[in-house]
Amino acid sequence: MNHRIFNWVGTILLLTVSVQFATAQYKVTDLGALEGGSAVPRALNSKGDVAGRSGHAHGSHTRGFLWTHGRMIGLGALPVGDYSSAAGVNDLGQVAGWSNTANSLHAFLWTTSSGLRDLGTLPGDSSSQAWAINNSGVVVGASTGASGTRAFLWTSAAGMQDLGSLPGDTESKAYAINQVGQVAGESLSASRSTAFLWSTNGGMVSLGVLPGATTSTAYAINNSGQVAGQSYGSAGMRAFVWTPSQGIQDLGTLPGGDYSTASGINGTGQVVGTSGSSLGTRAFIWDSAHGMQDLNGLISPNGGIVLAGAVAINDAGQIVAYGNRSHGSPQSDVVQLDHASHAGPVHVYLLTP
Amino acid sequence: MRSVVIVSLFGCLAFICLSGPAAAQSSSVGQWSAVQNLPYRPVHAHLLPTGKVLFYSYYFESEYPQIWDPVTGTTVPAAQAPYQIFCSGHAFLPNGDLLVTGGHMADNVGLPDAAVYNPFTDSWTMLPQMNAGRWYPTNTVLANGDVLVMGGNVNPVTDADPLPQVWQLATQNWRNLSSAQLALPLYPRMLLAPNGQVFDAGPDVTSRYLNTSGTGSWTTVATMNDSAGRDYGPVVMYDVGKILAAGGGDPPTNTAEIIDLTSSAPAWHYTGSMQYARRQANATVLPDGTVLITGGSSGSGFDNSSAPVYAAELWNPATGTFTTMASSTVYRGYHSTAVLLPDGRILSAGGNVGGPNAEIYSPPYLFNGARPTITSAPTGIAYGQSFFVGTPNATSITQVTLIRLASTTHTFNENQHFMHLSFSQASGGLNVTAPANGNIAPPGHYMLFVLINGVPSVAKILLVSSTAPATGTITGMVTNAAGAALAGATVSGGGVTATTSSTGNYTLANVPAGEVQITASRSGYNSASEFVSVSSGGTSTAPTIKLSSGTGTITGVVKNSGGTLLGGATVAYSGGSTLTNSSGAYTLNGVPASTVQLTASFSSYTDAHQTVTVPASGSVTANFVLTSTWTGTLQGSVTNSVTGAAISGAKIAVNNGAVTLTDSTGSYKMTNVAPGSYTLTASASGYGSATSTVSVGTNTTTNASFKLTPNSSAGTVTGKVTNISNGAAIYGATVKYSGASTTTNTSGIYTLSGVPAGTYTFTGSANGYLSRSFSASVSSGTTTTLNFPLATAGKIGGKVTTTTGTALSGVTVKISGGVISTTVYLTTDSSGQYLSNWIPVGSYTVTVSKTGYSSQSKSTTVSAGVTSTVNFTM
Repeated sequence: MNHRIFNWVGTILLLTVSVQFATAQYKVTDLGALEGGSAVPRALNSKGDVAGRSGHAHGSHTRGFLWTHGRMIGLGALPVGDYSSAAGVNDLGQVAGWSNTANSLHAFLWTTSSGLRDLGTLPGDSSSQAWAINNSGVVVGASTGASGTRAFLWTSAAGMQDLGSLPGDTESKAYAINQVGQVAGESLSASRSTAFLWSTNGGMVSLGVLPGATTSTAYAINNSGQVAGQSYGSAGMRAFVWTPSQGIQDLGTLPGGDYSTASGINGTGQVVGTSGSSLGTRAFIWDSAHGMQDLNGLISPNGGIVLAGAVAINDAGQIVAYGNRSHGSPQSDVVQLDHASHAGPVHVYLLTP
Repeated sequence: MRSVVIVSLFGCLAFICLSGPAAAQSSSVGQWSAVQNLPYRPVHAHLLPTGKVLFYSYYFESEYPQIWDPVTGTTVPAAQAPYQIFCSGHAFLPNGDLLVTGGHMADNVGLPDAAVYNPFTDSWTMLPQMNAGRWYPTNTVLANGDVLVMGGNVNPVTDADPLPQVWQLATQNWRNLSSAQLALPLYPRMLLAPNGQVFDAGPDVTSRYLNTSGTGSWTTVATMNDSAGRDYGPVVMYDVGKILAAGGGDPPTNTAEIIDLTSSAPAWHYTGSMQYARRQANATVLPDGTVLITGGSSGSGFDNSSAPVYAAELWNPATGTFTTMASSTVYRGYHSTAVLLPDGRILSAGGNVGGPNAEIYSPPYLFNGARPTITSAPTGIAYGQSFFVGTPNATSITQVTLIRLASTTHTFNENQHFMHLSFSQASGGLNVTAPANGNIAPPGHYMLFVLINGVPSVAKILLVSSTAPATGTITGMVTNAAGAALAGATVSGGGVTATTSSTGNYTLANVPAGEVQITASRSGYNSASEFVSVSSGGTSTAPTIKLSSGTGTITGVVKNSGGTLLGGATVAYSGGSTLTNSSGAYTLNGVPASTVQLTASFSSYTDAHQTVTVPASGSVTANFVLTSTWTGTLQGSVTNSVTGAAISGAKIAVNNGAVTLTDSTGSYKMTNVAPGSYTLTASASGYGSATSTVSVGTNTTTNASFKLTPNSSAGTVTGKVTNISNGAAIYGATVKYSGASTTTNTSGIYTLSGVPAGTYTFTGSANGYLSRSFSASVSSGTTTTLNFPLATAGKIGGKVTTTTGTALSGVTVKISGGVISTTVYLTTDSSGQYLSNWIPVGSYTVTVSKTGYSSQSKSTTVSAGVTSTVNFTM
């Protein structure tokens, strides 16, 4: 018998086989994109619904979307608007985001029954952006006008409330809210930003910056009041996690990277985000037991998918990420490992444990 | 007889006499040069006030900007950028500095940094940071010289930066247009309109004005007709307030539309369509007011290099039609640029696929008769001012145009303005009227062209500003020591130069008011100076300047472009010559005090010329850099010093600023390297770097290979590749990951050392076996064991028929089993047959099912290289 009658390299990837990879911890679902274009996620609820934006790669026609029950729904834009983005989704399927109007930018609340609702601005302002919504329907974001930008908290009963800023700062933005109403974001002066945690009783408190850094921003908060975000200084951008007991902690980068940012945290303290690496920009998951791991090593390599960033993680451990199918680079174009994610459409991928 | 035509590809095309068929073609469709290699891709390209092109590439390469000289075709490194300026916005400030905003922290993640590049001192200065990171913002110069920065992505989490900011020259800080937040796509097409507001021309279809006063406000103006969005289609303002948007979208369109912002109700209207649909094309306004379209792809997708458009097209605003021009040879797609040069040619360069090279296009107007010349023009003009342009072609001039210097990337020139200037004939030239205000021509540097029936001069670069210096006129006479009139003497002062007439008289016009030193010089005479007081608008008579005859000295060195001093080179002028010594130095004594042209020459090098003015009883320095007619090649490989495995993606840095990476075989190659001595440093993640000094000769290939030692932050992966069926070792199997590849020894053992700590996918493959991939984490200083039990493979096929013998199609066939657990689903074809792909050997169960029939299962064994036949009757 001749064992060398054929030469086969890598073709097993094309078979529908049930070979189990010991380290493939997540099943990957490609959520596609509106208009066959490009899509980037921003939020994930506990049911696995995803909110984000989708449009032409690098270009026009960007609209907020909600992915639920296996399909991507375009949310449209506020009247005459030509750009919108969905930023938060709660377990009721209500979506918070922002949209261009004819000549400005306004926060919106979207529901299946009522569609897009313009949330207006703080008094005297001209524009606003909503970044998150909790299961009580409380929306947080930022309102901007001639006097600058202020974090807001919106309820259907009371409308928009100005959350103020840290002492000495003049501006602020709220990016996250948990189910007990704690809010995280950044407070700004002309020269720096500082991550904050806000609560009804405690007001706004600074979460500080990493050692040696000058700025910090909080992008996510879990129901224990633990916060994830990024801090920037001479060493570059670094993902951080902040806990009430241990304060701010540097999550480092993947091997070979000089950049990281965290934008999602769940109830068990698992953090997701994006990191540079020797292989290019990659999605990561971090927990205190395992440190930072490349999510690409935790999915089956059979799909040919490169996950460039992870945006959110829910308490079931589901992760929403963005990336692309690796189509390789021209031989002459060896300088960069990541051209597919720079120069072309990206898709949203839902990772389910 | 056909004359032989030799065109200097990168030299000046001022006068080219063509005849025969080739000439007839070039005069109607223009001509492309051969491809010139560059050190990097010009992803961002700018015409500097010095007349040279500053360009930079992508990723870390963007920290090494380059300066390309259109006259000599040579490239030299510019000062290193202060941060990664890939994906930045850019436009020129009124003083000629290039303002660069934002940049690349990671893909889709912007830097908040900003900097200015001074082209006169070749230096960078950091500015205060912007409000947030900006990746793909657009800079637009406003009427007072301040610069609007709009758009760009902060990061994937917060998306577009909606806050417009203005860089204020007076305060050297940012002004937030906080009442004008709006989300716009990457690199919005922003253009300063004649009403002083900034017009947003896409790529989304809603067109608006941004009023940048106070805290800003937007108003809606019009809607584009092409509702699909002109993504990566160029937009140009081809005349004052008149805008052309051509092509773009996915799939690309060949349509184009125009809007006239000077009309009472501006609206987009279709103009003629291009012959070719295009995306990723560039558009360039030419000196005659036509618009050149170059490059792009007609295929769908982001950057489709399988459907390149090589033919240029020329749009005529008078007729609204496109005419197809000559074809280039390289696909200029995503990350390519086009820049109008002062000599009227167009630099078309770069592209991810196109590569680090350029082609230069000469439009038909360079083949349609002699070009007019500009002999004098002021260095600066003020709005509304009448100024004098010296030209011997005054009576023939039909057009005078002004074009702002290009600053372009991603199919959009962020620093574009074009206008016709009114003019009248005057003695020895033209009286030209400067643009009325900064809305039409924001302050800064422009190219001034004079044209005869569409044939342009070489441009003069001048500064347009709100207040040109007050000027007056100086008249006077130059004589020899005996008082006899001297004709042909050069008189200069206040930045203006004139030549004495046969009566020894001269006139210096547009001289800055104040005390001015004027200097007269003439071949064979000592130069002499006088001071004259010039009043604004007045005419002053200077004291007669008497010149005595005399001689001076010229000294200098001759070296090559690699920096090597050349001994034995000849330096000559019309009155004599000398040779350089072994240190490359020369001295020419006794040269008449005059302006002389020097020529330096050396075997296998291109002659270099230089004009110097020799002072009487003094010395002048004239150094030469000669470019070899032959260049060398540097090549080699980078391998792991322990395993000998090739290292791909290793960085090779040369001490002249050049950088390249090794390919998948660990090899690199740098061509067109000037002869000389270089120090190369090879580095790769997980390895210690290595340095080597090599000498590059002319027309030779120099090898410099490196063996890098894995550093302690790396680990080792080892294991055995076996036949899963019998445990036998497989010799010669390949095990690879993204960083390296190796093969097994006769015992089936492989070792990958120097693997940087991290998680990788490792793939084992061997002839006759199915490949397998596993993910494994590698830690510093540790050895990870990863075995690859590989299976040989066979196939299963057969036929399904009914009990009556009819072939049964559409039957679902499930194949399950194998030494590596495998499940495959197949469907029978119209002849009832099915055949699997290669599957691992071993025992399988084959199950067939179809609605309306009873399912059946059979067992079979798959052997290596054999197709097992399993037929069913249902």
